[in-house]
Amino acid sequence: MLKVENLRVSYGDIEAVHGVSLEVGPGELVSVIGANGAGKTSLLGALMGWVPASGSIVFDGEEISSLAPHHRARRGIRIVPERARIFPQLSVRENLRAGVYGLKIGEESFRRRLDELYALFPILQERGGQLASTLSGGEQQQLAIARALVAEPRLLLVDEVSMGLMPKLVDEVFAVLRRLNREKGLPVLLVEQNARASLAISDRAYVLETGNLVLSGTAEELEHDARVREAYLGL
Amino acid sequence: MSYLVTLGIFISIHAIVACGLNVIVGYAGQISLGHAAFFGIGAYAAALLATRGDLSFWAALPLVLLITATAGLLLGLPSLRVREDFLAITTIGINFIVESLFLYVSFFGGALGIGNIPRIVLFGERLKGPTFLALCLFFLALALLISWGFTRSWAGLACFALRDDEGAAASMGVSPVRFKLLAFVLGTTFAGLGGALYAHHMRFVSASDFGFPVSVMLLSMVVLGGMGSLWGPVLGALILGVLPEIFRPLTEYRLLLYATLLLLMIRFQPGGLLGPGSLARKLFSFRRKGGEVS
Repeated sequence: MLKVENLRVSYGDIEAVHGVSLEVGPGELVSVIGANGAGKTSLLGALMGWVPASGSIVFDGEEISSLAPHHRARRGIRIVPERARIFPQLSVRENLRAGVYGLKIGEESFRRRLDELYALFPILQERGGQLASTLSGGEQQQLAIARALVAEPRLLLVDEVSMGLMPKLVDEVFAVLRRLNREKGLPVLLVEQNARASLAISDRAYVLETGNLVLSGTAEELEHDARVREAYLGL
Repeated sequence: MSYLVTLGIFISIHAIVACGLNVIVGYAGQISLGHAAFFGIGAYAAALLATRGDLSFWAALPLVLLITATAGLLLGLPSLRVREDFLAITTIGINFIVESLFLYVSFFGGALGIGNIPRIVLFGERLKGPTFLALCLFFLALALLISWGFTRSWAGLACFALRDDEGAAASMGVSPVRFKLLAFVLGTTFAGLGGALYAHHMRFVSASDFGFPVSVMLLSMVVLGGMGSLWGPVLGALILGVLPEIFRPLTEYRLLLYATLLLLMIRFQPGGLLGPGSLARKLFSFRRKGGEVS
Protein backbone atom coordinates (compact mmCIF):
# COMPACT_ATOMS: atom_id res chain seq x y z
CA MET A 1 0.00 0.00 0.00
CA LEU A 2 2.63 2.50 1.16
CA LYS A 3 6.34 1.85 0.83
CA VAL A 4 8.82 4.45 1.93
CA GLU A 5 12.51 4.08 1.23
CA ASN A 6 15.43 6.10 2.45
CA LEU A 7 13.32 9.17 3.19
CA ARG A 8 15.31 12.22 4.23
CA VAL A 9 13.91 15.55 5.41
CA SER A 10 16.11 18.59 5.86
CA TYR A 11 15.43 22.11 6.97
CA GLY A 12 18.35 24.11 5.65
CA ASP A 13 21.49 22.52 7.05
CA ILE A 14 19.66 20.49 9.65
CA GLU A 15 18.49 17.02 8.71
CA ALA A 16 15.47 15.98 10.76
CA VAL A 17 14.84 12.56 9.23
CA HIS A 18 17.86 10.52 8.19
CA GLY A 19 16.89 7.97 5.62
CA VAL A 20 13.82 6.26 6.99
CA SER A 21 12.31 3.20 5.33
CA LEU A 22 8.96 1.83 6.36
CA GLU A 23 5.92 0.10 4.99
CA VAL A 24 2.16 0.01 5.56
CA GLY A 25 0.44 -3.02 4.08
CA PRO A 26 -3.18 -3.19 2.93
CA GLY A 27 -5.52 -3.09 5.92
CA GLU A 28 -2.65 -2.59 8.33
CA LEU A 29 -2.54 -0.25 11.31
CA VAL A 30 1.04 0.79 11.83
CA SER A 31 2.39 3.22 14.37
CA VAL A 32 5.60 5.16 14.63
CA ILE A 33 6.38 6.00 18.23
CA GLY A 34 8.92 8.54 19.30
CA ALA A 35 9.60 11.37 21.69
CA ASN A 36 9.39 15.10 21.04
CA GLY A 37 11.71 16.13 18.26
CA ALA A 38 12.25 12.60 16.99
CA GLY A 39 11.06 13.69 13.53
CA LYS A 40 7.56 12.22 13.63
CA THR A 41 5.79 15.29 12.26
CA SER A 42 8.52 15.82 9.65
CA LEU A 43 8.02 12.24 8.53
CA LEU A 44 4.28 12.63 8.04
CA GLY A 45 4.75 16.08 6.53
CA ALA A 46 7.06 14.52 3.96
CA LEU A 47 4.53 11.79 3.19
CA MET A 48 1.79 14.40 2.63
CA GLY A 49 4.16 16.57 0.59
CA TRP A 50 4.18 19.50 2.99
CA VAL A 51 7.90 19.48 3.55
CA PRO A 52 10.50 18.83 0.86
CA ALA A 53 12.12 15.43 1.16
CA SER A 54 14.31 13.08 -0.79
CA GLY A 55 13.89 9.35 -1.12
CA SER A 56 11.16 7.21 -2.51
CA ILE A 57 7.49 7.11 -1.54
CA VAL A 58 5.45 4.52 -3.39
CA PHE A 59 1.71 4.56 -2.83
CA ASP A 60 -0.36 1.89 -4.49
CA GLY A 61 2.47 1.06 -6.87
CA GLU A 62 2.97 4.67 -7.92
CA GLU A 63 5.94 6.83 -7.06
CA ILE A 64 4.39 9.93 -5.48
CA SER A 65 7.42 11.65 -3.98
CA SER A 66 7.43 14.36 -6.64
CA LEU A 67 3.69 15.09 -6.44
CA ALA A 68 2.27 18.22 -4.81
CA PRO A 69 0.13 17.68 -1.68
CA HIS A 70 -3.16 18.16 -3.52
CA HIS A 71 -2.25 15.48 -6.04
CA ARG A 72 -1.42 13.05 -3.24
CA ALA A 73 -4.75 13.90 -1.63
CA ARG A 74 -6.55 13.08 -4.86
CA ARG A 75 -5.00 9.62 -4.79
CA GLY A 76 -6.79 9.03 -1.50
CA ILE A 77 -4.27 10.02 1.14
CA ARG A 78 -5.67 12.02 4.04
CA ILE A 79 -3.98 13.39 7.12
CA VAL A 80 -5.13 14.33 10.61
CA PRO A 81 -2.50 17.00 11.18
CA GLU A 82 -0.70 17.87 14.36
CA ARG A 83 -2.78 20.44 16.29
CA ALA A 84 -5.79 19.67 14.06
CA ARG A 85 -5.36 22.61 11.64
CA ILE A 86 -9.10 22.98 11.10
CA PHE A 87 -10.35 25.96 9.07
CA PRO A 88 -11.12 28.44 11.89
CA GLN A 89 -13.28 30.88 9.95
CA LEU A 90 -15.50 28.17 8.49
CA SER A 91 -18.34 26.45 10.29
CA VAL A 92 -17.96 22.88 11.49
CA ARG A 93 -20.15 21.68 8.63
CA GLU A 94 -18.19 23.68 6.05
CA ASN A 95 -14.99 22.13 7.38
CA LEU A 96 -16.47 18.71 6.76
CA ARG A 97 -17.67 19.72 3.32
CA ALA A 98 -14.16 20.88 2.48
CA GLY A 99 -13.10 17.34 3.35
CA VAL A 100 -14.97 15.95 0.36
CA TYR A 101 -13.77 18.65 -2.04
CA GLY A 102 -13.43 17.29 -5.56
CA LEU A 103 -14.90 13.88 -4.75
CA LYS A 104 -18.19 14.22 -6.70
CA ILE A 105 -20.05 12.03 -4.25
CA GLY A 106 -23.43 13.75 -4.37
CA GLU A 107 -25.37 15.34 -1.57
CA GLU A 108 -27.05 12.16 -0.44
CA SER A 109 -23.98 10.08 0.16
CA PHE A 110 -22.30 13.10 1.77
CA ARG A 111 -25.15 13.22 4.26
CA ARG A 112 -24.90 9.51 4.88
CA ARG A 113 -21.20 9.84 5.62
CA LEU A 114 -21.94 12.77 7.93
CA ASP A 115 -24.48 10.70 9.85
CA GLU A 116 -21.90 7.96 10.33
CA LEU A 117 -19.37 10.47 11.63
CA TYR A 118 -21.91 12.22 13.85
CA ALA A 119 -22.56 8.86 15.46
CA LEU A 120 -18.85 8.70 16.31
CA PHE A 121 -18.49 12.36 17.27
CA PRO A 122 -21.92 13.67 18.35
CA ILE A 123 -20.48 17.02 19.38
CA LEU A 124 -19.81 17.85 15.72
CA GLN A 125 -23.49 17.61 14.88
CA GLU A 126 -24.40 19.72 17.88
CA ARG A 127 -21.87 22.39 16.83
CA GLY A 128 -22.52 22.05 13.09
CA GLY A 129 -23.31 25.70 12.42
CA GLN A 130 -20.70 27.12 14.77
CA LEU A 131 -17.40 28.59 13.60
CA ALA A 132 -14.71 25.96 14.01
CA SER A 133 -12.57 28.46 15.90
CA THR A 134 -15.09 28.37 18.76
CA LEU A 135 -14.47 24.65 19.36
CA SER A 136 -12.29 23.48 22.23
CA GLY A 137 -8.95 21.81 21.46
CA GLY A 138 -10.40 18.34 21.85
CA GLU A 139 -13.39 19.16 19.66
CA GLN A 140 -11.09 20.57 16.98
CA GLN A 141 -9.15 17.31 17.08
CA GLN A 142 -12.38 15.38 16.53
CA LEU A 143 -13.29 17.68 13.67
CA ALA A 144 -9.89 17.09 12.07
CA ILE A 145 -10.42 13.35 12.27
CA ALA A 146 -13.93 13.58 10.85
CA ARG A 147 -12.72 15.92 8.08
CA ALA A 148 -10.17 13.32 7.04
CA LEU A 149 -12.54 10.36 7.36
CA VAL A 150 -15.42 11.94 5.47
CA ALA A 151 -13.38 11.51 2.29
CA GLU A 152 -13.25 7.75 2.93
CA PRO A 153 -9.49 7.79 2.40
CA ARG A 154 -7.42 4.90 1.08
CA LEU A 155 -4.64 5.70 3.52
CA LEU A 156 -4.98 7.68 6.72
CA LEU A 157 -2.03 9.47 8.30
CA VAL A 158 -2.57 10.50 11.92
CA ASP A 159 -0.21 12.90 13.67
CA GLU A 160 -0.23 12.91 17.48
CA VAL A 161 -3.97 12.79 17.78
CA SER A 162 -3.69 12.06 21.50
CA MET A 163 -2.10 15.45 22.12
CA GLY A 164 -4.57 17.84 23.70
CA LEU A 165 -7.27 15.23 24.06
CA MET A 166 -8.50 14.21 27.47
CA PRO A 167 -7.53 10.61 28.33
CA LYS A 168 -11.05 9.27 27.99
CA LEU A 169 -11.28 10.72 24.49
CA VAL A 170 -7.89 9.33 23.52
CA ASP A 171 -9.20 5.85 24.18
CA GLU A 172 -12.38 6.57 22.24
CA VAL A 173 -10.56 8.02 19.27
CA PHE A 174 -8.13 5.12 19.18
CA ALA A 175 -11.02 2.69 19.40
CA VAL A 176 -12.63 4.44 16.43
CA LEU A 177 -9.43 4.19 14.39
CA ARG A 178 -9.12 0.55 15.32
CA ARG A 179 -12.68 -0.17 14.27
CA LEU A 180 -12.39 1.62 10.94
CA ASN A 181 -9.19 -0.27 10.31
CA ARG A 182 -10.75 -3.63 11.21
CA GLU A 183 -14.18 -3.18 9.66
CA LYS A 184 -13.34 -1.21 6.55
CA GLY A 185 -9.77 -2.33 6.10
CA LEU A 186 -8.57 1.29 6.21
CA PRO A 187 -4.77 1.40 6.29
CA VAL A 188 -3.56 3.76 9.02
CA LEU A 189 -0.14 5.18 9.78
CA LEU A 190 -0.22 6.54 13.29
CA VAL A 191 2.52 8.75 14.65
CA GLU A 192 2.42 8.96 18.43
CA GLN A 193 4.16 9.92 21.62
CA ASN A 194 1.61 7.92 23.55
CA ALA A 195 3.26 4.54 23.03
CA ARG A 196 0.98 2.61 25.32
CA ALA A 197 -2.27 3.61 23.60
CA SER A 198 -0.92 3.32 20.08
CA LEU A 199 0.78 -0.04 20.56
CA ALA A 200 -2.46 -1.36 22.03
CA ILE A 201 -4.28 -0.90 18.70
CA SER A 202 -1.45 -1.39 16.19
CA ASP A 203 -0.49 -4.42 14.15
CA ARG A 204 3.07 -3.29 13.76
CA ALA A 205 5.17 -0.42 15.01
CA TYR A 206 8.42 1.41 14.47
CA VAL A 207 10.43 3.39 17.00
CA LEU A 208 11.81 6.70 15.73
CA GLU A 209 14.70 8.31 17.61
CA THR A 210 16.32 11.58 16.46
CA GLY A 211 15.43 10.96 12.85
CA ASN A 212 16.33 7.26 12.68
CA LEU A 213 14.16 4.19 12.90
CA VAL A 214 15.89 2.23 15.63
CA LEU A 215 13.44 -0.61 16.15
CA SER A 216 10.56 -2.27 14.43
CA GLY A 217 8.33 -5.25 14.95
CA THR A 218 4.82 -6.32 15.73
CA ALA A 219 3.08 -4.26 18.36
CA GLU A 220 3.27 -7.19 20.71
CA GLU A 221 7.01 -7.63 20.26
CA LEU A 222 7.60 -3.97 20.97
CA GLU A 223 5.36 -3.96 24.01
CA HIS A 224 7.64 -6.61 25.47
CA ASP A 225 10.89 -5.11 24.28
CA ALA A 226 13.03 -4.06 27.20
CA ARG A 227 14.19 -0.79 25.61
CA VAL A 228 10.65 0.24 24.65
CA ARG A 229 9.34 -0.66 28.07
CA GLU A 230 11.90 1.50 29.73
CA ALA A 231 11.99 4.47 27.37
CA TYR A 232 8.38 4.73 26.23
CA LEU A 233 6.15 2.80 28.53
CA GLY A 234 7.84 3.84 31.77
CA LEU A 235 7.97 0.29 33.10
CA MET B 1 -28.99 66.86 -6.09
CA SER B 2 -26.54 66.31 -8.93
CA TYR B 3 -23.77 66.51 -6.34
CA LEU B 4 -25.33 63.62 -4.45
CA VAL B 5 -25.78 61.66 -7.68
CA THR B 6 -22.12 62.16 -8.56
CA LEU B 7 -21.13 61.05 -5.08
CA GLY B 8 -23.37 58.02 -5.47
CA ILE B 9 -21.72 57.15 -8.79
CA PHE B 10 -18.23 57.29 -7.28
CA ILE B 11 -19.31 55.24 -4.32
CA SER B 12 -20.92 52.52 -6.45
CA ILE B 13 -17.94 52.32 -8.80
CA HIS B 14 -15.54 52.05 -5.86
CA ALA B 15 -17.85 49.48 -4.27
CA ILE B 16 -17.68 47.31 -7.42
CA VAL B 17 -13.88 47.52 -7.47
CA ALA B 18 -13.70 46.88 -3.71
CA CYS B 19 -15.95 43.82 -4.14
CA GLY B 20 -13.33 42.50 -6.53
CA LEU B 21 -10.55 43.17 -4.03
CA ASN B 22 -12.66 41.43 -1.40
CA VAL B 23 -12.66 38.25 -3.51
CA ILE B 24 -8.85 38.33 -3.55
CA VAL B 25 -8.17 39.50 0.01
CA GLY B 26 -11.27 38.46 1.90
CA TYR B 27 -12.18 35.18 0.22
CA ALA B 28 -8.82 33.82 -0.89
CA GLY B 29 -6.68 35.55 1.75
CA GLN B 30 -4.15 36.98 -0.71
CA ILE B 31 -3.09 40.50 0.12
CA SER B 32 -3.11 42.92 -2.81
CA LEU B 33 -1.89 46.49 -2.60
CA GLY B 34 -2.01 46.98 -6.35
CA HIS B 35 -5.68 46.64 -7.13
CA ALA B 36 -5.85 50.14 -8.62
CA ALA B 37 -3.62 48.89 -11.45
CA PHE B 38 -6.43 46.66 -12.68
CA PHE B 39 -8.99 49.40 -12.11
CA GLY B 40 -6.74 51.45 -14.39
CA ILE B 41 -6.28 48.71 -16.98
CA GLY B 42 -10.08 48.44 -17.24
CA ALA B 43 -10.48 52.20 -17.52
CA TYR B 44 -7.75 52.59 -20.16
CA ALA B 45 -9.02 49.61 -22.14
CA ALA B 46 -12.53 51.10 -22.17
CA ALA B 47 -11.20 54.55 -23.03
CA LEU B 48 -9.06 53.30 -25.91
CA LEU B 49 -11.74 51.03 -27.33
CA ALA B 50 -14.31 53.85 -27.17
CA THR B 51 -12.13 56.60 -28.63
CA ARG B 52 -9.72 54.94 -31.03
CA GLY B 53 -11.64 51.71 -31.49
CA ASP B 54 -14.93 53.52 -32.01
CA LEU B 55 -16.76 50.77 -30.16
CA SER B 56 -19.83 51.41 -28.06
CA PHE B 57 -19.53 50.74 -24.32
CA TRP B 58 -21.60 47.58 -24.72
CA ALA B 59 -19.54 46.19 -27.58
CA ALA B 60 -16.33 47.05 -25.78
CA LEU B 61 -17.33 45.74 -22.33
CA PRO B 62 -16.67 42.02 -23.02
CA LEU B 63 -13.27 42.98 -24.47
CA VAL B 64 -12.48 45.19 -21.48
CA LEU B 65 -13.33 42.37 -19.10
CA LEU B 66 -11.27 39.93 -21.14
CA ILE B 67 -8.30 42.31 -21.18
CA THR B 68 -8.36 42.88 -17.41
CA ALA B 69 -8.88 39.18 -16.72
CA THR B 70 -5.90 38.34 -18.93
CA ALA B 71 -3.79 41.01 -17.23
CA GLY B 72 -4.88 39.56 -13.88
CA LEU B 73 -3.90 36.08 -15.02
CA LEU B 74 -0.50 37.10 -16.39
CA LEU B 75 0.42 39.30 -13.43
CA GLY B 76 -1.15 36.96 -10.88
CA LEU B 77 0.73 33.88 -12.03
CA PRO B 78 4.17 35.08 -10.91
CA SER B 79 2.90 37.17 -7.97
CA LEU B 80 0.92 34.44 -6.27
CA ARG B 81 4.03 32.32 -5.94
CA VAL B 82 5.13 34.61 -3.13
CA ARG B 83 3.25 35.08 0.12
CA GLU B 84 2.19 37.70 2.61
CA ASP B 85 4.66 40.62 2.91
CA PHE B 86 6.33 39.63 -0.35
CA LEU B 87 2.99 39.47 -2.12
CA ALA B 88 2.12 42.92 -0.74
CA ILE B 89 5.38 44.34 -2.08
CA THR B 90 5.01 42.58 -5.44
CA THR B 91 1.51 43.97 -5.93
CA ILE B 92 2.69 47.47 -5.00
CA GLY B 93 5.34 47.03 -7.67
CA ILE B 94 2.72 46.02 -10.23
CA ASN B 95 0.76 49.16 -9.38
CA PHE B 96 3.75 51.44 -9.98
CA ILE B 97 4.76 49.69 -13.19
CA VAL B 98 1.26 49.85 -14.68
CA GLU B 99 0.89 53.48 -13.65
CA SER B 100 4.18 54.43 -15.28
CA LEU B 101 3.29 52.54 -18.46
CA PHE B 102 0.14 54.66 -18.70
CA LEU B 103 2.17 57.77 -17.98
CA TYR B 104 5.17 57.25 -20.26
CA VAL B 105 3.92 55.20 -23.21
CA SER B 106 2.46 57.53 -25.79
CA PHE B 107 -0.05 54.91 -26.93
CA PHE B 108 -1.81 55.49 -23.60
CA GLY B 109 -1.86 59.25 -24.08
CA GLY B 110 1.14 59.92 -21.84
CA ALA B 111 0.77 62.67 -19.30
CA LEU B 112 -2.25 64.04 -21.12
CA GLY B 113 -4.27 60.89 -20.56
CA ILE B 114 -7.18 60.02 -22.81
CA GLY B 115 -10.08 62.42 -23.21
CA ASN B 116 -13.28 62.70 -25.21
CA ILE B 117 -14.64 59.41 -23.99
CA PRO B 118 -18.28 59.29 -25.11
CA ARG B 119 -21.16 58.72 -22.75
CA ILE B 120 -22.76 55.31 -22.54
CA VAL B 121 -25.84 54.97 -24.75
CA LEU B 122 -28.66 52.67 -23.64
CA PHE B 123 -31.99 52.40 -25.51
CA GLY B 124 -31.01 55.41 -27.58
CA GLU B 125 -30.47 57.51 -24.50
CA ARG B 126 -27.13 58.93 -23.41
CA LEU B 127 -26.70 58.05 -19.76
CA LYS B 128 -25.71 60.77 -17.34
CA GLY B 129 -26.60 61.72 -13.78
CA PRO B 130 -29.35 59.57 -12.29
CA THR B 131 -29.58 57.15 -15.22
CA PHE B 132 -25.83 56.55 -15.10
CA LEU B 133 -26.09 56.02 -11.35
CA ALA B 134 -28.81 53.45 -12.01
CA LEU B 135 -26.49 51.64 -14.41
CA CYS B 136 -23.70 51.65 -11.82
CA LEU B 137 -26.06 50.31 -9.17
CA PHE B 138 -27.17 47.59 -11.58
CA PHE B 139 -23.57 46.51 -12.10
CA LEU B 140 -22.93 46.70 -8.35
CA ALA B 141 -25.90 44.40 -7.76
CA LEU B 142 -24.47 42.06 -10.38
CA ALA B 143 -21.06 42.11 -8.68
CA LEU B 144 -22.68 41.32 -5.33
CA LEU B 145 -24.71 38.51 -6.87
CA ILE B 146 -21.61 36.97 -8.42
CA SER B 147 -19.72 37.35 -5.11
CA TRP B 148 -22.56 35.68 -3.28
CA GLY B 149 -22.73 32.86 -5.80
CA PHE B 150 -18.98 32.44 -5.50
CA THR B 151 -19.16 32.05 -1.71
CA ARG B 152 -21.77 29.32 -2.16
CA SER B 153 -19.76 27.37 -4.72
CA TRP B 154 -17.08 24.70 -4.40
CA ALA B 155 -14.57 27.20 -5.73
CA GLY B 156 -15.55 29.58 -2.94
CA LEU B 157 -15.18 26.89 -0.29
CA ALA B 158 -11.78 25.96 -1.75
CA CYS B 159 -10.67 29.61 -1.51
CA PHE B 160 -11.91 29.95 2.07
CA ALA B 161 -10.05 26.78 3.02
CA LEU B 162 -6.87 28.12 1.39
CA ARG B 163 -7.23 31.40 3.23
CA ASP B 164 -7.61 29.64 6.58
CA ASP B 165 -4.84 27.07 6.14
CA GLU B 166 -3.15 26.58 2.80
CA GLY B 167 -1.40 23.35 3.74
CA ALA B 168 -4.48 21.75 5.21
CA ALA B 169 -6.53 22.77 2.16
CA ALA B 170 -3.95 21.23 -0.15
CA SER B 171 -4.08 18.01 1.87
CA MET B 172 -7.76 17.85 0.90
CA GLY B 173 -7.04 18.07 -2.80
CA VAL B 174 -7.41 21.84 -3.24
CA SER B 175 -4.81 23.17 -5.68
CA PRO B 176 -3.46 26.36 -4.08
CA VAL B 177 -2.20 27.91 -7.32
CA ARG B 178 -5.40 27.28 -9.23
CA PHE B 179 -7.74 28.83 -6.70
CA LYS B 180 -5.54 31.77 -5.77
CA LEU B 181 -5.36 32.53 -9.46
CA LEU B 182 -9.09 32.08 -9.93
CA ALA B 183 -9.83 34.53 -7.12
CA PHE B 184 -7.25 36.95 -8.49
CA VAL B 185 -8.70 36.83 -12.00
CA LEU B 186 -12.29 37.21 -10.76
CA GLY B 187 -11.25 40.10 -8.53
CA THR B 188 -9.35 41.89 -11.27
CA THR B 189 -12.28 41.43 -13.66
CA PHE B 190 -14.52 43.28 -11.20
CA ALA B 191 -11.87 46.02 -11.15
CA GLY B 192 -12.01 46.12 -14.94
CA LEU B 193 -15.77 46.59 -14.87
CA GLY B 194 -15.41 49.42 -12.37
CA GLY B 195 -12.70 50.94 -14.54
CA ALA B 196 -14.89 50.92 -17.64
CA LEU B 197 -17.69 52.68 -15.75
CA TYR B 198 -15.20 55.16 -14.35
CA ALA B 199 -13.84 55.99 -17.81
CA HIS B 200 -17.29 56.66 -19.23
CA HIS B 201 -18.28 58.71 -16.21
CA MET B 202 -15.21 60.95 -16.07
CA ARG B 203 -14.92 60.88 -19.87
CA PHE B 204 -11.23 61.42 -19.27
CA VAL B 205 -8.64 59.14 -17.73
CA SER B 206 -5.08 59.79 -16.64
CA ALA B 207 -2.45 57.64 -14.98
CA SER B 208 -2.60 59.32 -11.57
CA ASP B 209 -6.23 58.25 -11.16
CA PHE B 210 -4.96 54.73 -10.62
CA GLY B 211 -1.91 55.24 -8.43
CA PHE B 212 -0.86 53.49 -5.27
CA PRO B 213 -2.94 55.75 -2.96
CA VAL B 214 -6.06 54.47 -4.77
CA SER B 215 -5.01 50.90 -3.96
CA VAL B 216 -4.60 51.88 -0.32
CA MET B 217 -8.05 53.48 -0.35
CA LEU B 218 -9.59 50.34 -1.89
CA LEU B 219 -7.92 48.08 0.66
CA SER B 220 -9.08 50.41 3.44
CA MET B 221 -12.64 50.04 2.16
CA VAL B 222 -12.43 46.25 2.30
CA VAL B 223 -10.78 46.17 5.73
CA LEU B 224 -13.15 48.76 7.16
CA GLY B 225 -16.28 47.03 5.91
CA GLY B 226 -15.10 43.56 6.79
CA MET B 227 -12.85 41.27 4.78
CA GLY B 228 -14.67 38.27 3.44
CA SER B 229 -18.16 39.58 4.16
CA LEU B 230 -20.55 40.17 1.26
CA TRP B 231 -21.66 43.72 2.08
CA GLY B 232 -18.45 44.82 3.78
CA PRO B 233 -16.83 46.40 0.69
CA VAL B 234 -20.05 48.29 -0.09
CA LEU B 235 -20.24 49.69 3.43
CA GLY B 236 -16.54 50.52 3.30
CA ALA B 237 -16.92 52.33 -0.02
CA LEU B 238 -19.92 54.21 1.35
CA ILE B 239 -18.17 55.36 4.51
CA LEU B 240 -14.88 56.25 2.84
CA GLY B 241 -16.84 57.95 0.05
CA VAL B 242 -18.97 60.08 2.35
CA LEU B 243 -16.49 60.91 5.13
CA PRO B 244 -14.07 62.96 2.99
CA GLU B 245 -17.06 64.95 1.71
CA ILE B 246 -18.22 65.76 5.22
CA PHE B 247 -14.70 66.61 6.31
CA ARG B 248 -13.88 68.49 3.14
CA PRO B 249 -12.02 71.24 5.01
CA LEU B 250 -9.65 68.52 6.19
CA THR B 251 -8.80 67.25 2.69
CA GLU B 252 -5.12 67.68 3.43
CA TYR B 253 -5.45 65.11 6.17
CA ARG B 254 -7.27 62.49 4.15
CA LEU B 255 -4.45 59.94 4.27
CA LEU B 256 -4.09 60.55 7.99
CA LEU B 257 -7.79 59.80 8.34
CA TYR B 258 -7.42 56.50 6.44
CA ALA B 259 -4.47 55.49 8.57
CA THR B 260 -6.28 56.34 11.80
CA LEU B 261 -9.37 54.47 10.70
CA LEU B 262 -7.34 51.40 9.73
CA LEU B 263 -5.50 51.40 13.05
CA LEU B 264 -8.73 51.80 15.01
CA MET B 265 -10.31 48.98 13.03
CA ILE B 266 -7.37 46.67 13.57
CA ARG B 267 -7.37 47.48 17.27
CA PHE B 268 -11.08 47.26 17.99
CA GLN B 269 -12.80 45.42 15.13
CA PRO B 270 -10.20 43.33 13.33
CA GLY B 271 -12.92 41.53 11.37
CA GLY B 272 -14.25 44.83 9.98
CA LEU B 273 -17.63 46.43 10.59
CA LEU B 274 -19.53 43.49 9.14
CA GLY B 275 -17.03 40.73 9.84
CA PRO B 276 -17.54 37.79 12.18
CA GLY B 277 -17.49 38.87 15.81
CA SER B 278 -18.11 42.52 14.93
CA LEU B 279 -20.32 44.82 16.97
CA ALA B 280 -22.88 45.03 14.16
CA ARG B 281 -23.11 41.24 13.92
CA LYS B 282 -23.52 40.90 17.68
CA LEU B 283 -26.29 43.52 17.82
CA PHE B 284 -28.05 41.93 14.90
CA SER B 285 -27.88 38.41 16.29
CA PHE B 286 -28.96 39.75 19.68
CA ARG B 287 -32.12 41.12 18.08
CA ARG B 288 -32.73 37.83 16.33
CA LYS B 289 -32.30 35.78 19.47
CA GLY B 290 -35.21 33.80 20.70
CA GLY B 291 -35.37 31.97 17.43
CA GLU B 292 -33.02 29.17 16.54
CA VAL B 293 -29.34 29.48 17.21
CA SER B 294 -27.16 29.66 14.09
